[in-house]
Amino acid sequence: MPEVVDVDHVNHYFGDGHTRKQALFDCCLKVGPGELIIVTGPSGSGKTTLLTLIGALRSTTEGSNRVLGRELHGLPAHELVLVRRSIGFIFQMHNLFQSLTAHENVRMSIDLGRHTPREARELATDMLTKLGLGHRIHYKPNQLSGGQRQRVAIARALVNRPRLILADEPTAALDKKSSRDVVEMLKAQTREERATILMVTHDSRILDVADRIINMVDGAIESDVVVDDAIRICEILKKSEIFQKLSPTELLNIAQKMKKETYAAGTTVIRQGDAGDKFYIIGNGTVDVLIDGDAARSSGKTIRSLGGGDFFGEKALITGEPRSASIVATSTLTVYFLDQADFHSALAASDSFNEQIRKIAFQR
Amino acid sequence: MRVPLAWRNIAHERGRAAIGIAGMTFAIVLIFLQLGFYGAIIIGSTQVYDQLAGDLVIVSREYSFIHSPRSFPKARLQQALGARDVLTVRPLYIGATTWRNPATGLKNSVMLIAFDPRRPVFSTPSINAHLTELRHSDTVLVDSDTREKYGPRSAGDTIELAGRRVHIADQYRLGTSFVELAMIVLSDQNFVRVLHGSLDDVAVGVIRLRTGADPAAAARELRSRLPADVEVWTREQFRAHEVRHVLLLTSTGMIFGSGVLVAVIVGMVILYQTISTQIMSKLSEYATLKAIGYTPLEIVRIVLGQALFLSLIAFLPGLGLGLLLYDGVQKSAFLPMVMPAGRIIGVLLLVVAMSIASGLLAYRKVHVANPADLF
Repeated sequence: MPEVVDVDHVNHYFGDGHTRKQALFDCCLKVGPGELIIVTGPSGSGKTTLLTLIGALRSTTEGSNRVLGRELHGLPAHELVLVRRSIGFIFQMHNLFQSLTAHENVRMSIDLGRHTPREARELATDMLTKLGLGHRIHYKPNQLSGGQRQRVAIARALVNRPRLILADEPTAALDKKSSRDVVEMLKAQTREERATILMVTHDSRILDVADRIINMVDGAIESDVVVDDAIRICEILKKSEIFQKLSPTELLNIAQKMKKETYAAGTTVIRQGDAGDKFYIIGNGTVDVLIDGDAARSSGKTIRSLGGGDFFGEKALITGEPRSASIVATSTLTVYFLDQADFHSALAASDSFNEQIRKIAFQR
Repeated sequence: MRVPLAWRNIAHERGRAAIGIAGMTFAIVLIFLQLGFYGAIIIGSTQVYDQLAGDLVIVSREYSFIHSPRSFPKARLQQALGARDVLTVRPLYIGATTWRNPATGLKNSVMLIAFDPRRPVFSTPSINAHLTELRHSDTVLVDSDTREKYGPRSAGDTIELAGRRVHIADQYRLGTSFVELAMIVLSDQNFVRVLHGSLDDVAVGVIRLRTGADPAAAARELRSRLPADVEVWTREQFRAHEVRHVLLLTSTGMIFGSGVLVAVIVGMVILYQTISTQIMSKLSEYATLKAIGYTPLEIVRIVLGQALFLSLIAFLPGLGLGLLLYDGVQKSAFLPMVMPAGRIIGVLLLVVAMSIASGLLAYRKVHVANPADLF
């Protein structure tokens, strides 16, 4: 999967001669499709500068800055303008056109593409309706509340379905409810359109939606951390057949609820006939699947062996019947498991996960 | 249709737009007025000659313009008569004297135009209707545009020209000019009585050709036939000479020409101020345009659109006020103020050019709008 943003050893300077000041120091950052990255850091730490370089709003002068597959370093100004058309921008101050209605504000973005007037009108109406502003499309910015204005600005940024969205403090001027709405809309965009979002924010209320949090200090990327260990589980989950089609967010949701267990070789993980209470993914190691064995010893018939990325234990959870087979570790085994309640809530939360797992469960 | 941002911006800030439109209207009225005066000079410089009933004219080699014609010997007219295609050759006399206002006692200059009433040279009906009366001694016709300061000037009044009392038979309509505020038409005999001059000194010889004759060819033939102390012109050459003289050799052309220039500059400054103030107040919106991918060309179009909307809105009231002023000047100053269609189109094009120029100047302010500052 090509990176949406690939910043490699970027330095940036402001001013010339004696007043020349370095603003970015050897920044490296890779962001993939569907990722929501939050960039934090004290003011003057260079996060805005980094965002403006990625957004083709400034010329990259040192290092490689590939955005949407295009190298921005050395690109002339008139090319940078065209790159910006593929990026959705959301500003702290909504920066709507005061003389235009919400509908016309959104159409200003649509006008940059090739659409018939009818298509343009429909696109704008649909996008505003989707953001809950269907009843306000012909209002001007000064007739809208702060939250509504920011939603219009988001509609303008999203209406061309950009693969990359750059947002600067999009919730700074909003109350708690509006901030949450705005963040959920953006998060939905990463799920539904696999859009990549880079968001500069100090708003701790919204950190939970991030896939990664990047912290910048004095012009350098100080840390680039996954939201928690769950991402590591995601890496394993991603290799598994049933999770391949899930978005990073869905994976993360599941992974965050998983717990890790380690078994020595020869340990029985599941006993046939027991009540099912956990769903397992194999992180490392191998197991044998046995049926009709002695309850005390694993002397049954081995019907299958499983390895890393494989999973087991789902059927009993779905059907409510006792375990239909025993699982015995054949090497040192690391598994991640979901308990019954989390398993069911994961099924409920993700249509794709539900569909995928039921299909596989009933094929066996 | 794209979102008409330029129009919306103007409609959104009506106060600012109104000031710009008012300023531009003022400039347009000023342009029309200056051009009206300019046009009046041209019309005024030729309106007497335009009424001559002839195809060619003979003037002195030293002829300058209507108010300084110099004269040539009457014998040249006889010589011209011998040429092929020449039907008639009639003399026109031009002179100037003083006209005393009996109420104030002040003497003002008046232009005299004379011909033999038995051989009329004008095609003006209001002159030709009085040819018989003109033959009476000390009887004259007065131009109806003659100014009030000359005193009584109606039919039946008696006036004093160069100390000589003459009788006004009637008024005629031909028009005065910037230079002369009063004009009198009289017979050659009375002309000599008033000015004590000689009928041998002709100002303009008016030649009529046979029907179907080529004026240019006839003029060429006359030139070769006549001595070098006279010049033979077609009507068009005569007209062009008068216009060129008044526009180039007097300062009137330059005065009103520079008046137009000043009005253009005033209009552009007002337009520039209006647009650039608007840009500065909406700098973040222009930065946003840049950020979301509008190219400089597209932004120029928006800025120019605003300038054009403002000035085109101003054009209609500008034209309307201009026409009103023309009418007022015509009535009060007796100047031939007319509005040809070509002038309306010309000023419209000039206004478009002014909008583009001041729009482009104002566009430089957009450079200040840096999309990187929006973050």
